[in-house]
Amino acid sequence: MLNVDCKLSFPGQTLHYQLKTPDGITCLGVKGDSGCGKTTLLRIIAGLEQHAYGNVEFAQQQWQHSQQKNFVHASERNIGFVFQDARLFAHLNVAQNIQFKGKKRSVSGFEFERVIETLDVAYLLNRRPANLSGGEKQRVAIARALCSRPRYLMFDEPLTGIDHNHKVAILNYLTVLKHEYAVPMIYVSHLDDELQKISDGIINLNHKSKPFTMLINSHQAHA
Amino acid sequence: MSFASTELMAFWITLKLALLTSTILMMICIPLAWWLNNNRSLASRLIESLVTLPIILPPTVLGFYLLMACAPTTIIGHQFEILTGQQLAFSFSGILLGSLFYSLPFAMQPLQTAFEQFDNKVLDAAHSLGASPVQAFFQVTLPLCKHGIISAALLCFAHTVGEFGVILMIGGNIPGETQVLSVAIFDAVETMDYTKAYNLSAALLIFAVITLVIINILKRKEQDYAKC
Repeated sequence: MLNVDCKLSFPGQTLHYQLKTPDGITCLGVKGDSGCGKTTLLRIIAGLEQHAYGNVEFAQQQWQHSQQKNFVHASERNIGFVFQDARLFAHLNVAQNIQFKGKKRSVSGFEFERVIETLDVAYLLNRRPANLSGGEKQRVAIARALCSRPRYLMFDEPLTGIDHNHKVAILNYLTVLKHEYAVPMIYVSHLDDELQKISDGIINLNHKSKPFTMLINSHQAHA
Repeated sequence: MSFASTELMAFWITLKLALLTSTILMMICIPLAWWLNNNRSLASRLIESLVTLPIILPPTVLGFYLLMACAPTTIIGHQFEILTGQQLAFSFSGILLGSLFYSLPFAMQPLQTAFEQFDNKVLDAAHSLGASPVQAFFQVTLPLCKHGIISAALLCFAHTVGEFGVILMIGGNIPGETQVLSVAIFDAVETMDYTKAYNLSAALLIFAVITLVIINILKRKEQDYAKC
């Protein structure tokens, strides 16, 4: 499903991801301590870290091969990415945020009405992001990612700040999406119950023993 | 307050000059400010310093160099004369060129501030939704920085309206061609026509206050956007 061999250097630190997961996993869970590089891994896979060097292959798509100078821009990877912070567009209302798409994604995504209903954002459609609570913003961000017609979904602790009832409804819906549409997903969280519910296999990124280099091998993914 | 035809002509030339200067500078400065904000090379720092130079350079010095550069004996002046049939110095085109140089930093600084306050993280969201870098720039960056852009254009407009030294050096004081309001006020004082000087000065003062109020309102709105 996922094949990553990539290095990314920051001042005083180099993260080295070597990761290969078996086919047959639709939703890959990623967990680990704070600061271990979960978000960075997701950003590399999504093409949001242009300074990463190496190879990235996800669901039979080669997105990056630095030696061959091959790098597919994030906008062309057909991903739906839910960030930890909502990152809504402040100049657009909720409806416009949800309908925001790049030129190459003209067709509507998963059933718009169903997404709106499940995420419980219908009553927010005419509001501006500045007038939403943290949980509401996050629900809108999830709706926006789902409605952008992604072929792949990436979630970076998406349920942070969302109340229990909505959390359960969203997780149930994502599970349905996984089964009905077989959309390949990567789900990052530090909460085991979320990961157990949605993912088919979990990778544990833990770098405490090697603070400057992180090696994750395929045997750490368990289906 | 009443105005004669020469004053109305000075109003018109000032308005035309300020509108053209603001429009041209916005087209140059928006991409330039964005590039400078996202580039840390030595070349970009050098360009940034050069762009700021007119703030500390006396207008007469800038005007003098531009006047020398626009003379018919120079390449610029000669080529302009071949193309248009008129000389660049002491013409409207000449004062427009001077205004572009002189107002450049006043357009650049609010734009750079707006782009600095802009949270690049939302661009990740735009890219992940399929927006190319160009599409994201037009659909996300520019709308989110629009108050800063309008402030820059207004400041540039107001600054051009108040220009004096550079225009006098490169354009002289030709009514109907290069005589702008500030030069007309100077002219009125020199000829001791104080009523005319009062009227023109009051008009410019009111304009300056209104412009500053609008710029401050826009600044508040920009800060509200940044909080989202």
